[in-house]
Amino acid sequence: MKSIILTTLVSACAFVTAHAAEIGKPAPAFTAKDAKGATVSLADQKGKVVVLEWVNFDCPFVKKHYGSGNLQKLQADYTAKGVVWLTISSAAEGKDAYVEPSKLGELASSKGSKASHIIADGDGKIGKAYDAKVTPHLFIIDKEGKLAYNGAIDSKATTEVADVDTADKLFANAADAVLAGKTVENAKNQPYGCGVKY
Amino acid sequence: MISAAACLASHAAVRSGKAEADWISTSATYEAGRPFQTAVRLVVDEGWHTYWRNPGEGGMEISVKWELPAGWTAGDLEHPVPKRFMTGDLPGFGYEGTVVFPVAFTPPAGFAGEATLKGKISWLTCNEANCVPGNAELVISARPGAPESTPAAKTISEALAKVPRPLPAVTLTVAEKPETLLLSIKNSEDKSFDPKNFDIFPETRQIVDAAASYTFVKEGEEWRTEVKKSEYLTPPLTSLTLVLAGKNGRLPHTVTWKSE
Repeated sequence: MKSIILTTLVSACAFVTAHAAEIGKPAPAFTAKDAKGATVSLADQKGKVVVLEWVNFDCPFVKKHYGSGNLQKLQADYTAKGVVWLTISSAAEGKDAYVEPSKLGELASSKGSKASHIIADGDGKIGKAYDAKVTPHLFIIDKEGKLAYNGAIDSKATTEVADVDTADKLFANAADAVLAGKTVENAKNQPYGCGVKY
Repeated sequence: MISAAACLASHAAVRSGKAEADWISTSATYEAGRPFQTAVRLVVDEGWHTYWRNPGEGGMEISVKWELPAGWTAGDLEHPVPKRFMTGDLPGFGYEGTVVFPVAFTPPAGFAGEATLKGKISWLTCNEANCVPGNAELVISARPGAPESTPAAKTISEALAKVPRPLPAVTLTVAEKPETLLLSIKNSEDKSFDPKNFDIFPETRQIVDAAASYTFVKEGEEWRTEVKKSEYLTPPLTSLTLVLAGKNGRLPHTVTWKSE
């Protein structure tokens, strides 16, 4: 019963500022409840690098990166370096891709997720603020709260697990640069995947 | 290890995901040193679509990996004129129903004996709610000999007519503005040329916004339009190919601009 009440709050509590996401500009602020009921506010992450990962576990491009263990490894590697990793589903209620907020955390755990928080964004407010287009779509927010990366997980827009190893690591290269305080090359590129089901 | 792929490879249509794939040829025979015309055919389930070379936002172009007899070379997998569609909020380009992708192979001079060509095909289909990948391992066999037309020859010749070809008399220039691109098209030979007789598609990815519409206005000898840039355009802008898909039975063309 408790979890049901909390999950009802998830969409009700999501609060997002209005301006659009632009590289080098302050990332749109948001506050949401995670799958465990904890409040996650971007404003509270100042001083930390934050990663936003849009997810739909039914999408073949997402399956590629979870099936190969690539996303779990990225989550483990970067959270170990102090990164706050938020995995977000913006699928709307009524869509096939929608997972009840109470189940989303379990589903992510069953895939071996190592994300810091799993967030159900059923009203799509966070997704729209960032213009998250596909799953997977990755964003990096630097320690000052500015958007540092908006793009693909890697360079090979396929559903084949075998392509994970040979692709250019667009996201990881950007994350390494942000952690090192360096300029991100290719900070904005076209993400590939399935459309986010707003 | 070779056997697994070989055993699964099929001469017949293969059903996978939300489509059926087969590989057809114009002739049951090949002639050494001469192109051997084939085509990959996808029959996509109703309510689903697959993607063009420029898939727009989201989606995925069909991919092929060939395993050919020694010395054989593969041409490009040619894409017919696509359609526009929206998948949720994302504009895309691709195909519904049956789509035929012509591809020609060339055996080396002096090649003899039965030739077995293998192809590993991967595609993506999506509808409003889901995306489902498909893949097939297909085989074509051909004997040496004079051309011997197959029942699929007509399908392939019709498909070839739907593939846009360069039209040298038509030139495109592109000027970059902060948010837009100014496109100018000119046909030096045909004064009656009018872009309104064509549907226009950006074949080069990430140059023109996939949702852009093309409304050309005549200025002097040129037809001009201003279109929104792709938000993913990374400078410098070096080339753009547009497909001009002829309406009312006109043939489809490509026109390419390159900087310099």
